[in-house]
Amino acid sequence: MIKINALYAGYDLVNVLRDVNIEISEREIVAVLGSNGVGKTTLNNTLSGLIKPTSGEIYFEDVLISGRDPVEIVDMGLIHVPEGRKLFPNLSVKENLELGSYRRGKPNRSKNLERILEIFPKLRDRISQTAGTLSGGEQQMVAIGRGLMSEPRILLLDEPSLGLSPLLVEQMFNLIKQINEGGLSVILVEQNVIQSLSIADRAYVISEGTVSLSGCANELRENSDLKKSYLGL
Amino acid sequence: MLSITLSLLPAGIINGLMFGAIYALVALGLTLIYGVLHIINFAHGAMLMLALYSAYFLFKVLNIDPYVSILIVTPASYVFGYTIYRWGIGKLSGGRDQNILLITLGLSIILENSALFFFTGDQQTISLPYSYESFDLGFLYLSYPKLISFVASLIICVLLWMLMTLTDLGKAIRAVAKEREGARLVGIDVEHVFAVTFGIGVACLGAAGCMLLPIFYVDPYTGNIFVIIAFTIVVLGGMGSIVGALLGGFIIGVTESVGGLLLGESLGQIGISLIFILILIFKPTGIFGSKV
Repeated sequence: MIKINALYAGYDLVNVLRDVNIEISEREIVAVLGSNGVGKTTLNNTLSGLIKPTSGEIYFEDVLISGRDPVEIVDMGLIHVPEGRKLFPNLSVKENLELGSYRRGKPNRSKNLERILEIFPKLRDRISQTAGTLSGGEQQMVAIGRGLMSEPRILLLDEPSLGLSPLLVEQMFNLIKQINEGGLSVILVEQNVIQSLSIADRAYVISEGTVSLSGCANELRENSDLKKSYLGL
Repeated sequence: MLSITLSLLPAGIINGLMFGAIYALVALGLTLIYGVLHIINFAHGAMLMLALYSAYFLFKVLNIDPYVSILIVTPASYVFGYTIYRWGIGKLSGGRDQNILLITLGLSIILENSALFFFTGDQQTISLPYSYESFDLGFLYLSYPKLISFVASLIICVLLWMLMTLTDLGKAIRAVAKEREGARLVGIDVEHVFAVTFGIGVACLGAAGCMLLPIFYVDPYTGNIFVIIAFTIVVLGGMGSIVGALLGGFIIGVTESVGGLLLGESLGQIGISLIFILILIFKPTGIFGSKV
């Protein structure tokens, strides 16, 4: 579904990513793991078109999307739920969710909104509150909800567990699994290695800007290198 | 003496509200552009001046009533604003705010001096057949031009408020004001939204220019008189707030009018500066904070 081919990308002539190759198939959850500063967010921003790659290609169902504008990429159905949520703090929860369907227009809006409020019942009570006043967990729900309002075919989640309490982290991962089982492909970019591997089908580990390890989630869970570098075992 | 002044007070207040509505329009354009693009448009006064001249020539050459010209000059100003941002300011600035400031400053110099060259520095006024007809409220005569300006300004403010709260475009404008990257990720074309906002801001000036012409004069520097007042209104109402601009416009309009009544035309202006200083000391964020 997504094919990333020899990707180099970065900011101001410095390549953060070097020769990254990643593939994601239909209905998969693929985890992209790595600690702070290895280039995970750069990878996401390149996928969603916020930054243009220096070289290499990204294909979305055989269509070249690298170098395209975010608007076109949203139209194709690749939706990036960014780290730090990037909600519109001055707008109400409802308006935030509605803007998720900015490119889709009004036809399915109320139906999708209802579906998202069923997934996140808590947001129903907050619907007219401004997003800036919500708790971290609620904001994360709005961010994912806003992404789902775009009727994505593939959801790119950047650190969805960041800043959430352990209990909420657990819920968030269950929810991602649930969304995936509804038929959506998910790219899960995370620092939380254990939880991510528990729901992912496959995973890539990024270190120093390139893929250092990849494979099935089950195998990676037993991998001694990974245990050493991320779990301290 | 005092009793005469007091008996004129209601008339002074009403007169202030009338002028305040037009001030509000000028401030609205300024506050909208500031609230969303986070830049001060230094060419605001020059663009108001252009609107005044547009209305002036439409009247002189084609004999179109300035209040009818609102329907022509407002959309034309929008197109002018959109174009000049999208293919001028936006492109030339390379996305850096300090460049935008310099470009709008340069633009104002070009516009003012072009006006000086083509239209000369003479003050121009027009006289409408109904300029001196008025509406009797019992305690004062309200001139039709001022009444029409007042109503039209209010209508424009309401329309703008509806645009901002009820439409996707309005929500996108408010979203871009606070979170540009988030906006890009839901597929909002941020450069387009910037240009639309700039266009709407200039369109407010287009309407204001048409309404000012029958009750004021135009020369290449007229715009700046209003922009200085508009800055005070924006600070008073809160940067980026539509309701704040409207309320601030009324407060400043009434202050100026009543101040003029009590202290004389030139000393009356002191009230505006006084409000400005008090606001900066006691509530620097303005009445309505930084909401768009």
